[in-house]
Amino acid sequence: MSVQLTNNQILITDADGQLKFDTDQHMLFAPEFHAGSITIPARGVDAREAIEVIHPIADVNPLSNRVFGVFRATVDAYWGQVEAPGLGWFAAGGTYFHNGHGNLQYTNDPYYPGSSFFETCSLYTFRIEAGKLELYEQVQISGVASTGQEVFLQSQFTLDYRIWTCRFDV
Amino acid sequence: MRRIIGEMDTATNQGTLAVFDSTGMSQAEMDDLLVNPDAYADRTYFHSARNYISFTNKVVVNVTLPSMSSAQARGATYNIYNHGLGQHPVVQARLLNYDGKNISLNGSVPIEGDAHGFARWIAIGSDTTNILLHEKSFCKYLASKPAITLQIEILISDLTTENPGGISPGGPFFLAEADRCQMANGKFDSDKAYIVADDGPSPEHRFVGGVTCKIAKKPGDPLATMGLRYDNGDYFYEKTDLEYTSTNPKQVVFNVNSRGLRV
Repeated sequence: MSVQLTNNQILITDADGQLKFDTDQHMLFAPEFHAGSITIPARGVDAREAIEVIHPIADVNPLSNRVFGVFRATVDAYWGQVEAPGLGWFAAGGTYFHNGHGNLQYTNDPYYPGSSFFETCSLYTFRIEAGKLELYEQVQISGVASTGQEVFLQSQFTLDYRIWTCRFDV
Repeated sequence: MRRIIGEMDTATNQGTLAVFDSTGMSQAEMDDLLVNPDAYADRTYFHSARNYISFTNKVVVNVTLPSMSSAQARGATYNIYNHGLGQHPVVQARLLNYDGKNISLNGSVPIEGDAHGFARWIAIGSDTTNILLHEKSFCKYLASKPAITLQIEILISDLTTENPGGISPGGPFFLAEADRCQMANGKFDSDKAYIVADDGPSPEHRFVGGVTCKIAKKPGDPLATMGLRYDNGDYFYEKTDLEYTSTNPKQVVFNVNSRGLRV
């Protein structure tokens, strides 16, 4: 292990010469921690639905601009969707795909006649916007216009979260 | 001028280490920075009071997702590594060598997607015993997907849902041994890995702190078929909205808040 303090810089390298620490680097740190739960109501109960909803969580340090953490999705009832992740806590750094459905066959489609395509999904993202931590929900639950029959429901579920709001050293 | 200040209480062997740009600062301001680094955030390069996210274990595992048949949907969770911590660790992971890329697993990541929007969505997580991979997969009518083996690199952090402050680092104020270095009572420890920004052309990870996937639709028309775009900054997957034409392009516009990293 080599430690150099030179020109007001700290450099640490291991025996293989691999850099382990350099004060010129920008390290990620987490000034704040947020824990809680958000209940997402059922979607598409009475009709097809295309919505965007922002669920406010907390004010954060105005310098924080990254989300690091985990979430857990607990489905209250099973209405035919693909299984939720259950008791695990999953990485929350990007958008979580909760629910989806594709129709089997859309014979009137002008581009892919007789084919099937994905038409329903719900997305959830923990993000920081204007100094606030929030959950951004985007849902499209749509049936096939040609038949009017296939409308899919998303049952109520709970998102538990453990989020560190972060930023990098200068 | 950059300055390194270390202050240690010899009675307790505890102290503060700060690296910062002291240009134009008075002594009083430098003293204040030692106890209040956020007030000088734009000039602080390192401060031992900060909660740096660190990782204590790195493993590479292979996991095989089963084949799929026509019009099949599947949700499944796989135990892919026994961490044995008794708590839920927060992990950072990436797919290795998938379609020639290394892809960070933040949120849900689509793989094997087709033009119609049928994909396998995978997410990395943990329970108190195992690292988990969750799969939500959809296969198109009259199509199939073969089994696929994924190679995943997993970094297990000090942070757990039960202990959000992480493992208390501890250790001497400064330690330099042949095979280990610690600074600021273990705030930096060469035995651990840290997340470091890498804005070069080939970052090891793509760390995302926000939206990676959006739905595109005709505003106000829930009957429209759906466009979908995933983008983490260097890997993207898109299902176009079939009701849009070249004169009515799909409306998927967003900036991915991502940054390249080394860990």
